[in-house]
Amino acid sequence: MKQPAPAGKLRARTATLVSTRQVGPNILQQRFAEPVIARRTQAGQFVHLLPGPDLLFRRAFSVYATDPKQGTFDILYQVLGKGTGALARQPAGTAIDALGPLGNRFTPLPADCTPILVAGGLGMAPLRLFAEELLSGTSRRQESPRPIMLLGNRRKSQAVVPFGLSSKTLDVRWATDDGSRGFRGTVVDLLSAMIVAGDVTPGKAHVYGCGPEPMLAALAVLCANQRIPCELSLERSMPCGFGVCMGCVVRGRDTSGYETYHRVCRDGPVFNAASIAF
Amino acid sequence: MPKSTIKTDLTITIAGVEFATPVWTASGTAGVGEEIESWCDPKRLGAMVTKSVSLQPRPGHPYPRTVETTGGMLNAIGLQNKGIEAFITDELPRLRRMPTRVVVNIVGDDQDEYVQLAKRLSDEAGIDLLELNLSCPNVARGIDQGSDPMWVGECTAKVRAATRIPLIVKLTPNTNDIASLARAAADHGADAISAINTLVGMAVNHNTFKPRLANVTGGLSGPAIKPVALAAVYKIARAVKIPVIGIGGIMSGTDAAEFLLVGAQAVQVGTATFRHPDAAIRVAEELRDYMQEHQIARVGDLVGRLTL
Repeated sequence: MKQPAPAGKLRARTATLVSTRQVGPNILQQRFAEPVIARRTQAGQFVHLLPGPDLLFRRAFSVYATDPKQGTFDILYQVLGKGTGALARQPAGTAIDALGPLGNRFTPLPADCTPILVAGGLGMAPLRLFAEELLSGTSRRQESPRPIMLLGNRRKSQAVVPFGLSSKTLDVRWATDDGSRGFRGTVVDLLSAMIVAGDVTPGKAHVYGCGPEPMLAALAVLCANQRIPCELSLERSMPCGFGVCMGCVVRGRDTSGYETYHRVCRDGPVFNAASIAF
Repeated sequence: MPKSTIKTDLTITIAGVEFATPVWTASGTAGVGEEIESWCDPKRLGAMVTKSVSLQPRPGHPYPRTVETTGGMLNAIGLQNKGIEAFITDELPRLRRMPTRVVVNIVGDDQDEYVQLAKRLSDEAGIDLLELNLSCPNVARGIDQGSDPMWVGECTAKVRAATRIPLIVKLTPNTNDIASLARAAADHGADAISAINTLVGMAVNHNTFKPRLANVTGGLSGPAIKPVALAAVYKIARAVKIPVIGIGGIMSGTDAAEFLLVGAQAVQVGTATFRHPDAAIRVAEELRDYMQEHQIARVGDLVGRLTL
């Protein structure tokens, strides 16, 4: 999970807002034109956007989709606070100060393993980009098993369909807390049920997770117990995004097993689940 | 009438050390150099001031450690660092190679720890100045000690006796008389004063009834504290003869100029770097534009030019 080496001197870029599309309750998909970010971003990486001139800090967003040919990238978020509120109100054509792509990526997996992408809510965003990479073969050999994507939400009305993916090539399964779409229970319950049913062979699977922290903690426990390799993408409030402020930390273990705080922006956002102490 | 273009000189000398510009990074906002180097050309920084280094490694405080507030931010990082030995082995060789001045900021639990740190660093080449963090608001005794002029004087004297590296003493604003802290440091051998560190602050989530920082309180920085910092620098510059380095909410070249006008010889850019990784360089360039506009050739000519 080594971070891609910075290609020479890094600098802020100007991303032009192309479109804003509502895809769920208070949930927006925004597209930006910025060719370098569109070309360089790998699944798991994020962009750090300054939502408007009145805010002191940038806001971090996982990259949801890229179109290197058109030179665009997409983000997916719920409007929650001042930062997302300001970004949501920007009209198309607005120039947004952007850093990116930042952080590390999901690790491409061994050829004979089934990738299982486990998403809680909008944790789906970086996993969608990873699914696309897997399906296009850049992160996986063509003969590898079909990737599985598990999508968990509280209820059907909150479920966002991953943008532009075909269920012919991707095995998508839904879980909702109230059973209004797919399996009744959490995505971690769903994965557990699939293991019990023999749909997933622990020795031949690789799990990638992103979502709320309690869900990730449960996923880490399940994978540790089943001895399934597991990578998690974490979310944090990030003042700087490039490793200097030490604000976005998560308690974890270093390679020698000693407790330490990892920086999510620079040491992650993707971590081996075993290196995190939930 | 269009003004003529003049040649501007941003160099400044403090404690016998020449700096390419009076705009430095502030401790705790540029790491130990590695990350900032990817985003800005070190040659264009006046100096790289490291995050505080302590004798032993410190894990730091739990998350959440930062919160954005109106016009500023609170932080309670808790001085997370790998300790002096790892710093010397892992970080100093790269810092030494950076084409800028290197200021190592040190923090201790007591006077003896500051002395040990200064002695240890005296054996190492490539350190232009030491900055004593006598003012961290986020550790148990940071402010208690740092707001006592007698303690500040004693600590400065002991460190002075332990090293030949020029010393900057960084002061807390969490006191009723910052000028007397500055005088204590100056009288006991400090080569320069830097001010201000952060102001103690707190943020509360009224929905969850919880503090927004795991450490409950933190240090306030950013544009919100600039007026407090300007007043502190103004008072210190009138109280001591040694140079003063202004810190507190500097986001632009004109902010930097205001600190020079009230008596600072250099400034440190902190919180702004979190917004723009190359903020210190932007501030220096804007300061140059400001000098051009006001037909001031040498940056030193701005120092203390405030007209009452």
